[in-house]
Amino acid sequence: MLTGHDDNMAKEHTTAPLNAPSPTGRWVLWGYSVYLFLPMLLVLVGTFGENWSNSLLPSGFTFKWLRELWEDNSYRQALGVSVGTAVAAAAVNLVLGLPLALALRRPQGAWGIWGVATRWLLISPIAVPAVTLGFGYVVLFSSEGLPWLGSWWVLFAGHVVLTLPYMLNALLNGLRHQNVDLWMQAAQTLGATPSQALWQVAVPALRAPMASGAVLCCALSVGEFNLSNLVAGFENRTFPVLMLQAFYGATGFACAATLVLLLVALMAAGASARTSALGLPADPVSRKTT
Amino acid sequence: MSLELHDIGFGYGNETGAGGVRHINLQVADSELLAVMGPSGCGKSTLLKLCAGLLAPTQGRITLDGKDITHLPPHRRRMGVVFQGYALFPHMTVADNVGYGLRVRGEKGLALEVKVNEMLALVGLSAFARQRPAQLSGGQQQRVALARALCFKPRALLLDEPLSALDASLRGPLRDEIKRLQRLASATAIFVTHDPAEALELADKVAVMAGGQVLQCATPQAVYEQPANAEVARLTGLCTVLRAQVQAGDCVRVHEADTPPWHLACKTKGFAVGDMVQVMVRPEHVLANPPLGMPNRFDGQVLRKRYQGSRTVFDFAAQGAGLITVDATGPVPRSVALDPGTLHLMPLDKP
Repeated sequence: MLTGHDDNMAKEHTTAPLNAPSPTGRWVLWGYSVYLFLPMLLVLVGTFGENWSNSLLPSGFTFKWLRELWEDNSYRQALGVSVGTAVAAAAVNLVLGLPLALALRRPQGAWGIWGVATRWLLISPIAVPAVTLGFGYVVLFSSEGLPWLGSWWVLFAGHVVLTLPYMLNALLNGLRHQNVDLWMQAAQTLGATPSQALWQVAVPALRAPMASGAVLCCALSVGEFNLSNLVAGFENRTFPVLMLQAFYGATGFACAATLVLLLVALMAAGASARTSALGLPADPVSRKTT
Repeated sequence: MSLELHDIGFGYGNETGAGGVRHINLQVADSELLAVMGPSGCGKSTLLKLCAGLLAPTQGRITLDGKDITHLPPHRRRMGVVFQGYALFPHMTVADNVGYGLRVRGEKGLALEVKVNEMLALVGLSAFARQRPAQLSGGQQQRVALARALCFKPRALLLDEPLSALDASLRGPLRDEIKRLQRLASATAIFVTHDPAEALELADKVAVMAGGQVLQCATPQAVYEQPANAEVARLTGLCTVLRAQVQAGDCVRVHEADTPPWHLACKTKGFAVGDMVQVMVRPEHVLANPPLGMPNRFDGQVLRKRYQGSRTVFDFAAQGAGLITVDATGPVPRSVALDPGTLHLMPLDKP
């Protein structure tokens, strides 16, 4: 009897597919989705609502907030600064990130304490609050020797520092999952110089992680507030910095501004997800097929 | 092209010394295929990387047709390498992979296309030219790797365990394929493997390695039938090895721990009376159920039977002679004989 019972248990366990979400998991997922999307939905509703005060939902339907936003020069300019800074930071991160990732991919033992220190230094912008970096910039660039606070270049440099670790992570992940070293060796035995091997084999092989890293950098940079608020000058305020002011005015206008930022960020996140889904080509070593 | 290694040494700097090599001297004659065989960690892949220029030796010289290439970077050595995992470029088509060695040398257009197509036809993959490596099976990827390594007419072909990632049923046909292409290109080749069957079948010469050193380098027949020492004998296949002392009159006295000393008739040419030796016999050379009156005949019983399809290997406990491995196709052996002509004497391994 006892063995029969055990058999049934075993059967139940083996017949349930391992990858199916449990009912609890499904509820958590739904709950989280509501929590995540409800504010976005409210922003959407607020953008097109004519009147919203002392009520749960706004009344009326209008495009006036979006039109006002579009006609406001300072917001258009801020969006331009935000997108321009994001693209420039992502581009510089690509150029800096690839050689850095190639240098850092060695196992830690090979570099010893120096390797750990380098990694720590590069990853720390993730851990350290951006506001700390911002204060540092304020102190440094308001000195007499370097009176550049408020210039676009300081803002740009800050965004590069803040987003570089994410680019590096994307690239190092790509390198971990692919045999880039082996491919470069193969290319060299076939007659490619080290730089040819880099450009013709390593870079194309890493294009998926490069693209997803670049888009992620853009998304992070477009939404960055803490550092930008401290170091951006009046002429190159970023969109999130200006958005803060919108909340002192009409709710509809603030919602419209938020919606624009949300759309830009969501587009970037979508692109990043898509590039990583396009993904890494199958690793020929781990595939044992006939 | 003849490839020669003179007193090559290399260490990975790890404590165990695994993967490093010491005092390697090897000559591969023009159009010859040398198999480098040994257990994992014996340094055989290191040796190949040293030849390809992917590692720099800490001592010794490598020459190609007498020209010193020890310090030449890999891209100037013109050596075709087939890597263990093939290392095909995933973002290029099969044709682009195969033509890469020619493209980096500035070939393009029709001339390039013709050569690539020729090569693809040679390995039977013309239909797959526009596909990506990931769309191919393991065996096909292996042939692409081979075609890529041969397409630019390398001065030597270096193969690093090219068959180890493949299913057993594919290895046989691909072994033939490798041999055919190597012959066709009359390429000087080094083939690294841990599989003695592969090494013996493919190679003109086999270098048996262990612990970073070459133990013996000779023809497949020689390393199998006249191994230099017991380690080579064991690495190249099943065998029975007995410790013995040479006696007068073509005879040795066997000293094994589990039996009292016994005498064995064999040819002792090349050894002096009193020399300590090891006697080696392959299981297929042991006669099962021999007629009465054969020299070195022992009665006994089978301790263990290993059925392997084409043959059956028995561990045979011979009365007064200890354990002997026998390969028999007929009835279960009740007695065995060791033909003096097939017994091979080797000097005792240094401790």
